[in-house]
Amino acid sequence: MRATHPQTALIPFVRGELDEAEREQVAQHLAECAACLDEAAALGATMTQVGNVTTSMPMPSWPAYQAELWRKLAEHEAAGMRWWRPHFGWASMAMAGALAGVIAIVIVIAARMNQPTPLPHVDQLAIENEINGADLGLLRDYPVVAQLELLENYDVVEHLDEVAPADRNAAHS
Amino acid sequence: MIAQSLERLRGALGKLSPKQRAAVLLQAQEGLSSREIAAVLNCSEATARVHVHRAVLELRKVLKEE
Repeated sequence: MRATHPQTALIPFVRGELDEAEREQVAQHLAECAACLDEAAALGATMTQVGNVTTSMPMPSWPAYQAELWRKLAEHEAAGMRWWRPHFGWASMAMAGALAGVIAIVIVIAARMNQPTPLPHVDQLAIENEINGADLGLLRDYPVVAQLELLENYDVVEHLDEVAPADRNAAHS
Repeated sequence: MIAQSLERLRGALGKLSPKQRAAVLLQAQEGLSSREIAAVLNCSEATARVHVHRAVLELRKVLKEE
């Protein structure tokens, strides 16, 4: 019967990495096999030599590689979010303003149809002064933007009778 | 002498397969066990031992030629 030489277990044996059961098996084999005993010594010496010589070599550090990988993934994700978030923010503000305007128009028209009462007084001058004084470059100032859109809607609604049917339909859409 | 050994070893390491190179460096430089190398390389412990063993055999040929 051909003897099984535990070749791949020799280096772990020399380094003391084997569990007790496997260590016993290999030790028993080495006691009976001179060739494997010599091979184990040679492999151990080579590993020591490789370790000594490669100490100064740049070694791929797996933890550092993983950390760098996660950092780059996080940067990529954050860049995607920064690109995505402001557009969504502007869209939501624009939609909210448009919706508020449409609701205002519908309410006013319904009110005029039921009771032809004059529109409530809107201090347009005060609103215009506030808007003119606001720094519209900072479009994050949503109340200013919303007021500007409502002001435009009020202007349309007040002069609705003067609006041609085609333009009125366009204003409702 | 050490510089020459280093140069020859660099060449020999470059000829190893990526997993053999990684396995032998992880053990020789980082001191990882076969089980730990298997976890890093996402392979079985037996496979990690084979990688290390074959890499060391190749490197031994180079170092013997000096």
